[in-house]
Amino acid sequence: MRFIFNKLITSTICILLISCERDIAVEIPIEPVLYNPTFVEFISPIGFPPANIPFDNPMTEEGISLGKKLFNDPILSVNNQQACVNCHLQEFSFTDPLQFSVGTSGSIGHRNSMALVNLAWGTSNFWDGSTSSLEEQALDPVTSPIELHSISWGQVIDEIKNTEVYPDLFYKAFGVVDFDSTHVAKAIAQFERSLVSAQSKFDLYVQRKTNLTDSELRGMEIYMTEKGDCFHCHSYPFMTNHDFHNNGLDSEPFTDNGLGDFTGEILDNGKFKTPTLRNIAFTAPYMHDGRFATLEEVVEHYNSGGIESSTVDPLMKHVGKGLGLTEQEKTDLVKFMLTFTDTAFINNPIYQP
Amino acid sequence: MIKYLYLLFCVVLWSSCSESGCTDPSAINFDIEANKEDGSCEYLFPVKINFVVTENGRTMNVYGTYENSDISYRLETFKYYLSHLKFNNNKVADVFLYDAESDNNFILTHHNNNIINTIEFGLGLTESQNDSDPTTFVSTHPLSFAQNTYWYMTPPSYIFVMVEQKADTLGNGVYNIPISYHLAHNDLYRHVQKEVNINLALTDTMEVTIAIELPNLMNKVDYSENVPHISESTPTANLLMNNLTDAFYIQ
Repeated sequence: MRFIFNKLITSTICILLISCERDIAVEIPIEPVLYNPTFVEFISPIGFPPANIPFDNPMTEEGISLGKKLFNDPILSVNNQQACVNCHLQEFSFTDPLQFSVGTSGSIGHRNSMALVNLAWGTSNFWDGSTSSLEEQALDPVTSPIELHSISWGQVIDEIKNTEVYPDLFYKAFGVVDFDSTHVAKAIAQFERSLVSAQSKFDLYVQRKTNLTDSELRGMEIYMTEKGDCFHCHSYPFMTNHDFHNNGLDSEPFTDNGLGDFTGEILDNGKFKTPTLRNIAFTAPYMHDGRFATLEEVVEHYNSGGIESSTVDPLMKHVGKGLGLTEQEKTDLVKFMLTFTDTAFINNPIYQP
Repeated sequence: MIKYLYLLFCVVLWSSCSESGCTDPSAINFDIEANKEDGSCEYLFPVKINFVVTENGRTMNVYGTYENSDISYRLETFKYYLSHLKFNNNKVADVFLYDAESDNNFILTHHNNNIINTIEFGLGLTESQNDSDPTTFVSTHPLSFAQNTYWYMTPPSYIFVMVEQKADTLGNGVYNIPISYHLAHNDLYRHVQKEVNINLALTDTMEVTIAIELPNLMNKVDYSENVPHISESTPTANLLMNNLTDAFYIQ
């Protein structure tokens, strides 16, 4: 009996020791999350000016990576069904092929989704220029009823904080524990600034690394001169002047006032942001309301001269008269615009989730 | 003899103690050890330069209208480069881009003379400025690509003057005819010189306003002429640049 008791005591002590060992093993300190971001030097491509990187949101590897994750994560939508990427797909130069995108609640917008290209040099966002910085812009779609439709940013942030991965990622990117919507917007803005397209055939032609075909060269002559008069608004290297114009699409009253709705200035009615023509092959349909399905239709609009109105741009100097391009010239012009295609951008793996 | 020697010693001692220099504390080269003014004082006078466009002397903004030869024009875009601004032949600013859609002023300091007799500048850019690579400047610089004033034409050039406007040719209040001039290339550079008499003060910032009486732009210009936006030395481009040169005045 005494032997059994001793054995029992010894076994108990052994079990306790083993269990203690396990406890010790569990208490090994977890690697602390460090805030030591790797800053990314933004180098402008050949022919591009320095980018507009805000001082209060420098680009870091951690910030860009977090931004990409958020861009692709439906957690920002009310029903966890839709992410930014659903209307801004890389294969379409970060827009979608629809005339009007469909929001997470089934609502249909009234403007065409804009391509996200070379935003690091932009000065305003949206067709009506209603935000000036990408950090401001990134806040809007999350609570917009026709886009991600979240009830409030507070709810979105609570949901993000309750995930396992995001708190560490925000700490690594911004050194904050109690992060908020501004940090989400900053991260997405960093990712968006990293979307750089500068390797199209036309870029290579400008750098004298390739030649254009005869048709493309004839198209360039039309594009870059008064004959086609495209270059004033769609100027190299961005193929946009980042400005706002009424390009003679409609007569008054306009169904969409564009910039005028934002500024309240009547003489801004009917003006919209000049979209970039980079990767124009992938961004159909065209115009702020996606009314033109093909580039040929776009060229035909300008060839017709456009529609007169009180705010039609002074640069639309052939209103009512037309450009008078021949069929061959129109074909050449389209061929030239297709040289803005940058497949390296469309297929770049660093932009993929 | 001893008396004279003593006097001579005093004079030598006194002269060795006296130090010449600028004795005015408000001068930028005030010498605290100087006790003899030698006329070398140098001053920096603060001057605020304003740029305006006027119609009959009244300030005009974007979407403002003016008349010339019974035709009414509505201004939509107006930008011009002003280079090598000089007061009394001393350069005080290198380059400025006027944009009717922005605030157009800056503060500079004029060195030395408290009276400005001449103000001169270039309308457009000098040849070396026009040869600049716009991609090398930060976006806020007047010569930056971000200003939308540079075009890759043949040869490449900054647009010296950019006027975009519409004309009401029927007199019915409808501005229906677009008239745009994008004046570029070195041949269109103009020199402007104005005689003035402006007294500057050290304590108060003097405001000098460089104005353009815009209606003069269209003097003798046939608006119906199909002038290319990018004008080299065409007769109309020269006429427009000459008109603008003459339209400058100092307020």
